[in-house]
Amino acid sequence: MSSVKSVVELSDVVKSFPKGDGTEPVSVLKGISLSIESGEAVSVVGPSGSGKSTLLNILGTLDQPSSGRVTIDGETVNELDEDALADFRNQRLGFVFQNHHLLPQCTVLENVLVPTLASRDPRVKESAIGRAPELLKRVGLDHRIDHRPGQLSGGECQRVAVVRALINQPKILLADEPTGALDGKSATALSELLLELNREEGVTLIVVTHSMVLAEKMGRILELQDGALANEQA
Amino acid sequence: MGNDARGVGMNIWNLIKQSLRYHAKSHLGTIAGAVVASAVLVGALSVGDSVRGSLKDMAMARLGSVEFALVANDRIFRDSLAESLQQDINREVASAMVVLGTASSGGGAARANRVNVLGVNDDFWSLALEPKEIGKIEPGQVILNQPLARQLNVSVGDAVLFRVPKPSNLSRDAPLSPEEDTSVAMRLTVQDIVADAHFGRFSLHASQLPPFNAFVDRTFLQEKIEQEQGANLLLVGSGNEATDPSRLMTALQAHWSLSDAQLELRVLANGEDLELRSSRVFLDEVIVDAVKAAEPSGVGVLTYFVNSLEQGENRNPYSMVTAISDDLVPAGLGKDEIILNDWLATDLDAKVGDEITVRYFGVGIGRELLNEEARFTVSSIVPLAGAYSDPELMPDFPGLKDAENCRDWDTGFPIDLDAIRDKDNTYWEEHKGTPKAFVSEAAGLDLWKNRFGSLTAIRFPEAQSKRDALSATIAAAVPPESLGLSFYAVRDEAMRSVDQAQDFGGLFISFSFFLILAALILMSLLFQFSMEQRTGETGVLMALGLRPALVKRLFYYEGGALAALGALVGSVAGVAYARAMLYGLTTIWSQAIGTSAINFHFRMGTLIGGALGGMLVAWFTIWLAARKQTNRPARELLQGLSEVSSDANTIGHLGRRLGLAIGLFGLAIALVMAAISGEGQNAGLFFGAGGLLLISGMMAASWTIRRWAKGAGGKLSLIAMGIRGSSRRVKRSVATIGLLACGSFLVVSVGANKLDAVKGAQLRSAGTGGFLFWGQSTEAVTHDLNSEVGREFFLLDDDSLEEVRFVPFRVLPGEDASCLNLNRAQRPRLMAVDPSSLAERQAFTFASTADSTSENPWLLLNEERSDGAIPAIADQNSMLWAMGKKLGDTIQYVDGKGESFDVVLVGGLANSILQGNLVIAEKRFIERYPHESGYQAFLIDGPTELETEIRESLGRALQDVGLELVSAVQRLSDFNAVQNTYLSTFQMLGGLGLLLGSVGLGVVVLRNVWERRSEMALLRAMGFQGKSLRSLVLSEHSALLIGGLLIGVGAALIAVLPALLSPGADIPYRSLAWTLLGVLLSGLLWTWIAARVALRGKLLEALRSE
Repeated sequence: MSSVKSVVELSDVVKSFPKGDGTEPVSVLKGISLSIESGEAVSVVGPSGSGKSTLLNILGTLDQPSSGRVTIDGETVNELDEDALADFRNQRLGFVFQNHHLLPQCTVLENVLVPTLASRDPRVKESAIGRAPELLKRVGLDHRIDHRPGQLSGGECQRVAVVRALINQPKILLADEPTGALDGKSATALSELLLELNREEGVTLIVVTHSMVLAEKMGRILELQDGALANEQA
Repeated sequence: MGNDARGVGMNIWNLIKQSLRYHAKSHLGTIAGAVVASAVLVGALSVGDSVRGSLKDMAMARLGSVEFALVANDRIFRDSLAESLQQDINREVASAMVVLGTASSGGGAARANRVNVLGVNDDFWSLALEPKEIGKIEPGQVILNQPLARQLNVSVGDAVLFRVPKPSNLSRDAPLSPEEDTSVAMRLTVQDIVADAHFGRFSLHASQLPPFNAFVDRTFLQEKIEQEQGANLLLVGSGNEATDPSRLMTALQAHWSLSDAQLELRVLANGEDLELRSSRVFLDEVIVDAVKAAEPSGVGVLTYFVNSLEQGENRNPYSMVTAISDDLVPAGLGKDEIILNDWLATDLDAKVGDEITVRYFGVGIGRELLNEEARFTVSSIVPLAGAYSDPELMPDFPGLKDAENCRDWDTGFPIDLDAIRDKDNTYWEEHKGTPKAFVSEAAGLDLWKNRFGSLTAIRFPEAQSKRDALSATIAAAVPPESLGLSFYAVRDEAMRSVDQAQDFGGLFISFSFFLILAALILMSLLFQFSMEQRTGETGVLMALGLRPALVKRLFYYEGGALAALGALVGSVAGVAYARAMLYGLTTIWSQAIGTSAINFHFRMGTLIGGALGGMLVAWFTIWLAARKQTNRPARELLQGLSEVSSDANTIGHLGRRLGLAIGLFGLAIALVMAAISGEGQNAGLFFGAGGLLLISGMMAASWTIRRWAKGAGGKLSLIAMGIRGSSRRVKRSVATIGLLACGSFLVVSVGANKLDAVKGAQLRSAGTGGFLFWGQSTEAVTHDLNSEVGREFFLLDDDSLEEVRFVPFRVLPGEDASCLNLNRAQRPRLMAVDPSSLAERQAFTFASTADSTSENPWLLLNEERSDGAIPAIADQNSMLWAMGKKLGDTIQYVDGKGESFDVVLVGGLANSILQGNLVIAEKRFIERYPHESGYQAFLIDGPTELETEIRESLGRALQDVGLELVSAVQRLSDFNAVQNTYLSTFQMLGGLGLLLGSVGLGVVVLRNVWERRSEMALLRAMGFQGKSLRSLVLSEHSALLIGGLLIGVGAALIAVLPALLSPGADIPYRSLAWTLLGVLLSGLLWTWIAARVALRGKLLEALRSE
């Protein structure tokens, strides 16, 4: 393992939120330190309020820790400004949410290509346009390319969201309850797809979930209890 | 497209296009808001264009191609000057004789006063905007303009009786000016009626009200008024080469002759000497000085008509006495010495050394005769022969020069015929006006020099041989400018009047301000609502790595497209809005502009400018809304978090808010107390107190709502719960209350400022000055109508007139600078009054004075200023709005000698019937315009109960001078109508804005309920009926609606308390109540509709999705 490079390094990460009445802030993450290596599939589990989503937001650079250090793909992200963080997310991270958040006004293909809007490099756009149909074919949606989200099932939308997350070939794919809004069959299919992409594309997969079925499919399970890592299963 | 992804690509324009298409329905409201804002802007600007364009059309119609004009006022020059000038300057030049007269038709059934009777020839018509072949106007025929034909109700072939004054060479104010035969009546047949474009509207004064014009043949008129070949108006048309008044004056000077200055250089009976004299009798001082400087050999002659020469008990009535400095009187003759001819010496039984008393009438203000006397010692007695027997020493006094007999004299003042003896009559028959006595020139000037001139002639001994040269020298020494004759660039002035005219575009933008604001707020609410539906979309774009600036740009561009589309549609709707406003201005609001001749004028620049303005304002509003959304972190947006948390954070400083509300309330009360305890009612303090109460009320509302948010409250009930629901979105609720409070405050406070001329009209402090009538005469009245002589002259002996008193005004024609004239007056009409007549009455109320310590500001008019400016008082509104001036500002005039002088504003009258004029002291007026004779405007006092009788009696008695009476209350009402109409317009458009604001309340309801659908669903799940939920929503928002209206109306009532209590206020209680009720009902309706819409459908699903 030691020969494999760490893609995520958290060192003593604390996140607390101030209270409106000026009293002691509430600590949501209490000194988390962890390391995730490239190509790993990791699930984060824990009861509600344990800090799972906060941890994912910090990993996804959508939030900054109150203290501690966050290094992703060799970059200390808590030193980056807003624009640099946006670029970082765009190039290195992919997101899949519980709700697919597809743009209802765009077709499947256009939704997939939305992340390319952030790039000013025409080559990036060109290659993404070439890759999008292949990825959609891979998730079985090549026949839905011109459809709009309203014409798709929940599972299909979530698969489009996965393709959208992968369009810029990120190093890390972050998924927040990706199967939470799906029925059993669709949920199974989506989890299989995520693992397949993890294996075949080598993308690091970090999934926050309540579902132990999904969690157990990952190579590593991190359990959060009251803002701290309570247990780790390989 | 199929599966070929290469044809797609993805760029922000594509995304914006897709978003616009997808969200089209929810964008409709936003577009509608932008449409309203742009339409109102474009419409208001187009109204401005239309008013300005119409005024320009009118200016073009009234001036045609005339670029310059020379108005001679009371002077007359040769009509042939026009032809001479035309040859030199290569432009059309026309001369005309213009007199102001009265006209009647149908045996007096229809009358018109202040009719311009113009004697013109063909040259005149060629200067019209659209020259028409009018042909010669036959003697005995007249061409009328359309307004005059309408007023007289006549058509071609009908007869019209005109009465016009005969221009008097000697001022009508001069004591020797005749009183008889001063006007002429002409019964004329209507030959044609000319349209505005054919010069029917000809006028040199800017006004949207057309003049009454009657055109007759110039020669015909000249003969009728006994001014053969005379003219008093020169018009110069446009030309290919640019010119200016100074070049025209140079050209005029080349043709200028003595007769154009009403001077004559004639050979005296001795065949050797020449004499310069004027048909105006007295030689203006400016002429005397110039001629004496140019030709020092001239000998001044001043012959005066004296009432008597007395020695002891002996009395000789009515004689001429000459003051002269040549051989007729020895060089050493003292100022107290007199030379008698032997006829007089015999008559008075006087010898050298005796004292002679000379009694004569001095020239006072107006026609006032001052009984004066001077004592002389007889220096010598000379024979009535040779140089001492020279009837030519008497000037051509009208009324005397042609009289064969003393009893035929028409002197204009009472002659005691009984005093005239047979020998006096014999002397007159044999020697005419040969002077009976001689004094030194210096003595004569001391006694008889007056405002009309200092000499009656200048003699040039033995100058016959060089007559032509002398004539040229004198003509050069007395240029037209020195007599006040100058060309004005009338077209430039007209264009300035139009350019600086009342800006109706700006006016309507301010009238529509609340409407625009309400549309923008509504648009902002709708756009925000739409943005909130897309919170997740915003969050995901950021999460996917699109920089916040790019995400912002996406929404800004999308908003920009909506604003552009709205502006495009709005600009078309704006044209319709403008047409609607113009329809209003020419019908229901026509009192604001006094004409129905305002036509729609389209300017592409305005359309584009207005649409761009509307688009930018709409875009800015959208930008503000979008910025708020995109400034939030992606994490919050993805979680769909509302702003409640941020609102909740702001409720901490409750005490401070309450303290501030109480403090402001206290301050407002203090202001009210100060205003009540002070002298008079200080409207500013009351308005300040109202403003503070408005803010205090809003702070208190904010405090209450925030207190609810903290959970403090009374008994729990459905309604109480609903009302407390408004604390969920504190800022939104306070904004809703604020909008309604400000709107109702504006509508009520503006509406309450309407004026009523009737209330308190009898008070001296009122806008009527406490006077019963305002009168204007066509012909100048030279008599003092308060004096016995004046009353006798006009037969003002009716019982009803016993207590009637007049305050007369001299008038220098100019432009009406009241709010009734849409053009900016360049030279406002100047009126002159004896200040003490108004000061004694303490008439009118001053809104401002240059000297606040002055006990009676009217007396400021008498002030001698170190800068030489003449103090003037004007109506405050006229000064500020129609003239664009303030206290201390000056306006330049040119006096009767062609010299410029400044009139400085020293006082402003509060809303008075003197609007439109500058009032100066009569004394100063006479100094500047010595030849302007008589009074043409009157403030008339009289018992109110005899109003009808007085009107009839005065109208009858003063019919010949064309007196037009209007009750002071009516005149004030006419002025007030302008302000009241503006206020009505504002009230209507403001009310529309408020109604639109109440629609905004509906949107707020929709948003509030939408955000709380799960909460509503929970209540539904708990067993609440749909009706109960709607009550909950209604109670919450009704509280905001009623709260807003109460705060606004309450504060406005304090702000306008002085107006409510003022005698002249005309509070439109009914229309205000209807407006506010309409807003309340509309608000409740939209709240109800919004509640129904938001609560319909499967509410419980909201619970599940939560």
